[in-house]
Amino acid sequence: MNKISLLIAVYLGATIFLVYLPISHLILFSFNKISSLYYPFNGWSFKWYEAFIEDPAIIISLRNSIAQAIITTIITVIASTAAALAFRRRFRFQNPLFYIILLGMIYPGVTLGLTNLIVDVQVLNLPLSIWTISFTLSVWCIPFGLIILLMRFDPKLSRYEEAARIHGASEWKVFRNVTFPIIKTELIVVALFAFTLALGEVFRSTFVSPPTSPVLPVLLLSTLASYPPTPKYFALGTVIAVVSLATILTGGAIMSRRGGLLVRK
Amino acid sequence: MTSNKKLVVENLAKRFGKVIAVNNISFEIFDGEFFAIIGPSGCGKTTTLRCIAGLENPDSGSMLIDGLNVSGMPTYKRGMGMVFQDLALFPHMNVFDNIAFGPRMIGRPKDEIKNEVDEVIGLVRLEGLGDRRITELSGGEKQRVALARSLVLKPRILLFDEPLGEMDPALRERMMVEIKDLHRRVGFTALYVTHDQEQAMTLADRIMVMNKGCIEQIGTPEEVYLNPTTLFVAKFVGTINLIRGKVISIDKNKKNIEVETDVGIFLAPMQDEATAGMSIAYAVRPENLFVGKEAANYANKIYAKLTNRTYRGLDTEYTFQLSNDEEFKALIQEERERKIEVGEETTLGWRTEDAAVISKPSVIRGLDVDRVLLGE
Repeated sequence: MNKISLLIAVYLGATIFLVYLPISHLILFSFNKISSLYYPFNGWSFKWYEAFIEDPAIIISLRNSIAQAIITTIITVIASTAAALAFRRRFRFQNPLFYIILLGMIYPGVTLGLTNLIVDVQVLNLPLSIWTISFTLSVWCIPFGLIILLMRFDPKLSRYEEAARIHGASEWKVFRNVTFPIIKTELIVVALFAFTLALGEVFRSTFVSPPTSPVLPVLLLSTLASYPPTPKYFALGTVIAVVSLATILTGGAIMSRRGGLLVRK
Repeated sequence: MTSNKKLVVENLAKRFGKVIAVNNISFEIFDGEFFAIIGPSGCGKTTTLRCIAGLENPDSGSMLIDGLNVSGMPTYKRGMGMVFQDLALFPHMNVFDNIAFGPRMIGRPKDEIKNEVDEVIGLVRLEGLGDRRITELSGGEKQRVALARSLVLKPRILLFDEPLGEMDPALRERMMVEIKDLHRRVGFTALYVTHDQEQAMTLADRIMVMNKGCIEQIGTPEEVYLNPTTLFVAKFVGTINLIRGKVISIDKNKKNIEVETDVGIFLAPMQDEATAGMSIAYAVRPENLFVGKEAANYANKIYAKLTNRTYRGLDTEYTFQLSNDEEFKALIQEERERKIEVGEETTLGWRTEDAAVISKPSVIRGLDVDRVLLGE
């Protein structure tokens, strides 16, 4: 390893260490016997995990988070797949449309949440719900999905579709028998990505979250702001961190199996 | 081969933005015929093919297949088959499923599909390979799967889009023989697009030469090779030696034309369109040239210096430099002993009947003899 590589490795290692140090601390202390965040560590216990499972506010908001993440994922997968398939060809206003979609990713979260709140409540007269959250988060997730798919689509996909059409397949049959089986794996990657993004999202969902039945990040933000934290929140955090990590690693493994992270082999 | 018209194309036109890809062309293909379209890149042959296939929408014109107007008909209803340059075999299916794809899509009954697929597998000699994944096949085997995938549907026309482009020469030779053999046995109508005139000459019953979206000539391989109607065709099909010249006189008795060039005066067989004073290209093919002592026997002779000799196994290609610095090539078969060495000067000779005078540079307006000679 030459000097530059070594330097980069050290820098990367230090960054990861510093970022994950507080998190590791919390994960460790979620197993602490007594309610304390400070050393010394008193011994191993699962009681905070039991505690958060029995807390109705947490469970309800966890359920909301998962529900909303699932809906967001479904919307994102369908919309970004349709867009990615369409963007392979030239059509009118292709470039402006692409930038508009990309805007969802670039738009500051707080602004997106706030504007969605105004549109939902004042313009559309919609009650805030899991659905309002999902639609808002989809605007953010779809450009991620679109880019992942555009980069990972097999360039020969259009060719296979042409071959299918010549040999008797109507448009729907082409999709079902040729396109979908070939892009299946990429869709799973987008789904995993979108799910992780949606689950952890705070800023955008804060605004469009129902005040009485919020999603988890919102609940945590409001709770932890007012009360000193008990370790049951760390237990919760640990579970979510582990689940998110597992999801991302699965997605990464699937993508790597066929080449690099963003480039298809 | 009956004289039923399988495909009638009339005034087909297609442009992409400002570029005219297909410029109002009309032609016919007969039932059972092996029809090739050749031409340089960008001449419109692939666009023509894709319009007939339904993969492109022509701007105007009609296409009749078996009398049926297919313009506006979606691709999957046209009843054709196609072998692509990159084969486009479905990667997520094995050999059997690839071939069975067509019958399944059009709704053939299950038990009959198995019979039909097995029959075609036998036809292309892929027995026992039904279970294989596409990635496990050799180049030749993949070609045969591509052929089978189309043939199983008994297509009205089997379209070929440069199918042998990405092959090594040995495999290409074998595949050409196989395709020709299949055509003989099955009798399908074929539309074969390629830029390689050798493939077309070997496989086709008739060849259509295209240039910049227009048709230069349609004819049998013999017609196109021996009687090119334009300079473009003469240059594109096989190798040919060309010199600019002017018609001096026409001898109606001997049925000859006398042509003056800056390397000599030559004779060519009489042609109806040739008139005295006309600016033409004088043409003679390399295989018709005699080198050295025997050249003296022939009516047409020039002095030339040997600049290169390329041994090609079956024959040797000699490259000569004429006194006006232009190049002449000669093809000598089975050279026993070397006639001359590089750098030596010698005489080249040929018979009058082996020469030709071509007055028309191209069907494209605005091109003159010089520009076509330069390769535009």
